[in-house]
Amino acid sequence: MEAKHTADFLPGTLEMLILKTLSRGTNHGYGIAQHIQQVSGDALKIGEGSLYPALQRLLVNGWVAAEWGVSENNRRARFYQITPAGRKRLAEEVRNFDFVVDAIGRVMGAA
Amino acid sequence: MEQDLAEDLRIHQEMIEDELLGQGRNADEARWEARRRVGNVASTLEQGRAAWNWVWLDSLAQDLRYAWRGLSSSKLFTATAVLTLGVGLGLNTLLFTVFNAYVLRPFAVKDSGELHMLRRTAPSGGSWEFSLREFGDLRRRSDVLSDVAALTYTNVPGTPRYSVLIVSGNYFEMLGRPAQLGRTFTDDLAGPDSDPYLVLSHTAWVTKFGQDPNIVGHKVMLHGAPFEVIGVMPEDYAGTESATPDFWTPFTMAHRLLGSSVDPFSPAQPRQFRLLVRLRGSVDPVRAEEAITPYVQSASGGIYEDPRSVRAKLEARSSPVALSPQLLILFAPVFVSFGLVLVAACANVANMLLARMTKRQREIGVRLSLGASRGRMVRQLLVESLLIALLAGVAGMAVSQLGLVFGERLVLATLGPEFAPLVRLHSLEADYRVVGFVLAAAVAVTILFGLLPALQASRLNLTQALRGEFGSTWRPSRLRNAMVINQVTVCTVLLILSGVLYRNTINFRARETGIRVQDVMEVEVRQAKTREEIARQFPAAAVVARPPLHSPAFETMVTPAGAPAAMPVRFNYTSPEYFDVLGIPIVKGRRFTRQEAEAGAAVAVVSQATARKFWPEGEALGKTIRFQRVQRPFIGNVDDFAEAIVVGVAKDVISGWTWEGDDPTLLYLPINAASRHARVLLVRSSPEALRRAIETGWPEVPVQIVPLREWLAIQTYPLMMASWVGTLLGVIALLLTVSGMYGVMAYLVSQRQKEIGIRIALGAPAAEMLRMVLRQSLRLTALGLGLGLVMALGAAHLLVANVQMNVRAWDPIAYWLGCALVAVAALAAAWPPAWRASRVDPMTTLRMD
Repeated sequence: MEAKHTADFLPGTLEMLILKTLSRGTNHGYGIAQHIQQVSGDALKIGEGSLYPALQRLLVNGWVAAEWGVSENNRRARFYQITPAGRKRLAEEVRNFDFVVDAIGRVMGAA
Repeated sequence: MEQDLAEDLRIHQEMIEDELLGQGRNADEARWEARRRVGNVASTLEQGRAAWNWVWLDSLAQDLRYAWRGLSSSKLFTATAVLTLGVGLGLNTLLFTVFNAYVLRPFAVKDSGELHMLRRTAPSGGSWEFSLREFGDLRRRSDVLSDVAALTYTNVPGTPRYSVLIVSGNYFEMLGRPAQLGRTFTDDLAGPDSDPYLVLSHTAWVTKFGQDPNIVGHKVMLHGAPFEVIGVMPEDYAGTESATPDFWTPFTMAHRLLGSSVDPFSPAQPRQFRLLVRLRGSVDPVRAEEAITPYVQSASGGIYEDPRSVRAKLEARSSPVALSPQLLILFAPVFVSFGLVLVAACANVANMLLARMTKRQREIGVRLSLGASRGRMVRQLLVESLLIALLAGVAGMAVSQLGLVFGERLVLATLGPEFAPLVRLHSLEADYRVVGFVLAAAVAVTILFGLLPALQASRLNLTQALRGEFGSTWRPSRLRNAMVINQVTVCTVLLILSGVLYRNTINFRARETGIRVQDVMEVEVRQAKTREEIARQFPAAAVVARPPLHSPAFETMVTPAGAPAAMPVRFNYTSPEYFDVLGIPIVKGRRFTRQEAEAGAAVAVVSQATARKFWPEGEALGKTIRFQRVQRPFIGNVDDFAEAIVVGVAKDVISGWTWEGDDPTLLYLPINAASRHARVLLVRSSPEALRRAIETGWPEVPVQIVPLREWLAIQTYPLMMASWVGTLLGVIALLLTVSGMYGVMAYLVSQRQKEIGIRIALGAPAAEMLRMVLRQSLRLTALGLGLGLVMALGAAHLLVANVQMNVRAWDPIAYWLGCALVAVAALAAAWPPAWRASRVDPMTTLRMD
């Protein structure tokens, strides 16, 4: 492992990150993983073993939709797109996340 | 979906490879690194499936495959289990098929839920049918009724015998069913004198007219009149009665079939129609009853003492028998008996499964130690049971279909040759409800026979199981013993009860009626002249208003001389020859003379019991009886004379129900063959001779000859039938018990073989081993018998309370025989294992491990 600090995810945060990524535009699995890694400055590395099951869960709940298409370098790829229900879900998760982070911050600050 | 995911992962891997190649890695390294980063594809795929809940289905399919393999590798076990359950399920399916046909399946008509039968009821009892005038008035009640049809049933005797439903013209329109061939009739009927016609039922078309495609236009002779066939109804239309009639004919032709005395259009307006009503849309039946009751009361003036107590009553008619709590209570004993046999079958299969689990303990242990969860294990075992049950369901369908065919034949064959044509059975085909029942029953019994063994087996101790031993919590023997006890109980109850019923039937049949039934034939002849002529042809022939042994005679109110008040007495009109033909002795005085019968003289013969009741101390001969007139249902009025003189006393006989015993009262009044009361001829002859004579002498007379003997037998037929069905169920339960007992004892012996070997080696006598096994089986049998006896006693008393037939509940012989049979069978089943126990060779057993 190159990165020494790979953050442990709070349960459910991976889905939130995926939804956030997709809210900027459709993307394929590789692109999603890349985006999260880049934006987080390599702090968050998504293992493929957890990315795809998470994508499946999002599909089952109807928060994302998938479609086969062609990638930027002419490769066949499966593109994921956030659905309106997914956007609503994302908003909820962000609210919860902010609340939790805020709370944790206060606890840590008090110490 | 899974392919999509796999493809997605593969592409992802390629993208990583591209990225690495772009960073200047070499191809091999890049591929290897990419594969490492994507990781375990299979596990990812499985997690993906889990997200879609497919694991459950997937492992169910796996369980099914596994169960199928397991079952097909032990064919004997599977066959035995499937057959055992199949018989149990089949019997219950058979019962359900009958129940479905009569109660659940709606008539194939438009909106059957709106159909009701309208009756008028009064607290004083009795239910009068309706006249055409009343029918016409009710048809105008469009506030609650959308339509009303009048119907009455009649039989046209002869060969073949035809059943006819006489209906109002709107009948078919109201039910919304057109004919399959030709046409039906509508409300604008031609007058009574027009050429008569009829509509054929599909069944009659097939069975009596050879499915002739050109049947429309043909003529059928009924009571000497040519009825033209105008149409044939479709196959699924079975009518609105419990039995499908052969023909429907409009009520304008009723007089040709019923005789002019009961012409519905006559000014007398005879009340002879039942009314089938269709409620208006959403009208509640109770509200409709309230709305019609005032009219019914105003129309009932002449027939009830207190018309204001009369009520209109609507009964649902969406199927032949309406589903009601009373119906379920009435038939509960039948359902319970059939259900008990299924329970006994389940107990047997559960026993077999337990034995099988014991053999499979090592396999189960291995699977548990390899990480199978307990729930998964239980499910696996249940899936195996479910598979057995479903196979048994298929077998059960076959059993029930065979059973129905056989049962129908048996009923017709045992009814007597003259009676069988009178019986019409409703179509008993299996529909989706029956299939649904079998499936539901199969799933239900899976829980019943599969759950306990599965729970038991999954609760084992791992380390012991791997060594081939179950832990101390594994106590299948206790469970298995309970099942055998249950089986013994079930067959004891069934056998005792059918024994009680059988003995009662035999007892009733053996009862001396005091009436000669041998060679006495009964013929109904409507025409007075023909009746006279036929009677004259035979040396021993009598005429009677109500033939004996059909049901008790009607009562009339009389005041015997010297009595303070009127009292009811049963009465019948007979010709003087009645006493000779039926061999009823006159114990005092004389019978009527022929002259008295011709003249309709005011004389009477009373039975001994009547004489005792009317004049307890005095002499009956020469006393007068004054007839009272009352308006009450089931009370007849004698209007031939105001009073009659007793000229003779006849010996007491049974002319009503045999289980009632001697007639409590009976008054004989004289008639001759031409009298308006005369209806039936009783002739001492063979049926063939009588038929030949009538067919040659009076070819236009339709005859239906029934030997009096068959009427006698038919009285106890339902009781006899119940005892047969009970015996059949009891014997099946007994067979299940025998195999259950054998299984448990054989298992016991094989399990304790080592111990027995050691005991024999230490000098225990072989006979002691035999006794040990027999004692064990005796204990189970005794417990089951005890329970069975108590339950049988309770059930018999319930039966007596519900069946108004003077059935004796306590019959020592039936109880003793039932118990003895079960005990002997159970011990016989335990004998072979016991014998094997006594022959255990100590040397072989000790060398076994």
